[in-house]
Amino acid sequence: MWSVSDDALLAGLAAGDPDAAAAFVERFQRRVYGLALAIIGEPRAAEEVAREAFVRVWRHASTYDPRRGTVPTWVLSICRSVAIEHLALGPGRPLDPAGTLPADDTGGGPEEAATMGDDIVRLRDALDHLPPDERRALSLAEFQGLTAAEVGARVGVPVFTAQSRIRAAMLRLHSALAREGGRGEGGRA
Amino acid sequence: MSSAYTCVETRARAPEMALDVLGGTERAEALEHLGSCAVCRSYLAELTEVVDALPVLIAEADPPVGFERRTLERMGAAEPRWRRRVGRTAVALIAALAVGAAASIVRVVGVRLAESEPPRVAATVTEARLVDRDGSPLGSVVVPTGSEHVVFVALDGSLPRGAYTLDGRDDSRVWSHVHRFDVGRSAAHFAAAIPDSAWPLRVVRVVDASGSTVARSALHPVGAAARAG
Ligand SMILES: [Zn+2]
Repeated sequence: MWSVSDDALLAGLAAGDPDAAAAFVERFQRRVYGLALAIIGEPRAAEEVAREAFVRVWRHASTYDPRRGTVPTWVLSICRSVAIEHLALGPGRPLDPAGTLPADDTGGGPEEAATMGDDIVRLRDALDHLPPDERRALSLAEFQGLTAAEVGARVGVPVFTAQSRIRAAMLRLHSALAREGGRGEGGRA
Repeated sequence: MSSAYTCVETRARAPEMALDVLGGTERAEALEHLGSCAVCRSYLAELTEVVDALPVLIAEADPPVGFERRTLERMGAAEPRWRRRVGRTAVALIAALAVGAAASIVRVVGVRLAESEPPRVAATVTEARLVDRDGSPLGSVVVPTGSEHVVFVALDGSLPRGAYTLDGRDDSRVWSHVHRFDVGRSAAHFAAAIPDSAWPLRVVRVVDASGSTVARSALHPVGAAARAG
C-alpha cells in the first residue's frame, strides 16, 4: 500500500512529516529490532536500542547521503553503533554473542533474497565460506565493538592471532564485494 | 609527523579502522597517513562498505507489541511545533520533490489522496521552479491549496552554503517571513507553514545573509496537467 521509495520516505522524515515517520518506522522496524536483538540478546534492552536508533535516524535524516549507501544500510549502521554504545556502557557484554553473523538459513528468507542486490548475495556467500575462527573474530569486532586485544582475550588467543583473523576475514569479504567489478547498483560512487 | 605510517602499514590496519575498533597511537598514525593519501582513503571506504553491509544480513525480528507507537511518541516529543502543522499530503509532495518532476508530483499526490482524502486537492497543487537572477533553476516550490497552508521547497544544491530566509507574499506587495534555513553540502528539502499574511501565496523569494534576493518564484497552478501525469 505504501509505494514511496526509501529515499523519498527519508526525505519526508527529514521534513518532519508525521505520516512519513509512521511509514518509515513501519517499514524498518523489523530490520532494526532484529539487528538490535541479535547484538544485545535481550528483548527489553533491544527495544530501547532500536527506539534510540530510530530517534537518531530521525534527527540526522537530513544528513543522509545516497552516494554513500542505501537507506537500509545507513539505518542499520546507525542501529549497530547505538547497540555497541549500549554494550560498552552496560554491566557486561553478553558472554556468547547473539550477534554472531548469521548462518545461511537465517536472514530475510528466499523472497527477500530475490530482491537483494548482487553484492549482498555475494557477501553472504563469502561469509558462509569464512573459516569459523575468522568468522567469530569478525563477528565480535563488528557486532560487539571488540578490539583485537579484546577478541583475543575472549577467544583465548594472542592479540596477534586475533588481529590476523579479523584482517583475513575482512579481506575475504572485501574481495567478494569487489569481484565482478560492481560496487552494486544503489548509485554509490 | 614523521612517524606516520606508510601505505602498507596503513592498509594493514584499515580493516580494524573500518570496524572502528582500532585505538590509540595506531589509529592516530593511520589517520595522519589517510589525511594525505587518497589511495588508502579509497581502500578504507571500500572496507567500510563491507562493515556497513554486514548488518543487512542479520535476520529480521518482530518487535514487541506497541513498539511503533512508543517509537513515534519518542520521536514526536522533540518535534518542532511548526512541523506538526504540516498536513497529510506532505509525504507525497516531499516524495515527488525528491524525484523532481511536476508530473510525478501530481501522480504521487493522487495515489496518496486516494487512500484517505477526496481528490480535489490534487487538482489544486501549485508548483513552480525557483530561479536565480539569471533565470537558472535552483529548485522547486510546491504549495497544496488545501486547508493546511504549507509550502514545500526542494533545492538542488547550487546555492552557496550559508543561512537563508524564505519570504512569501500574496497579491499585495508586502513580504512576510516564512522560513529560515541553512544550505549545507547536500541538497535540501523542507516544509514550512505559510503565515496568514502571505496567503494565498503568489510569490516566494530566497534572501541570503546579506539581504540580497538570490532566487524567486511566481506560483502558478499546474492542476490541469494532473490528468496527463
Ligand atoms: Zn597510502
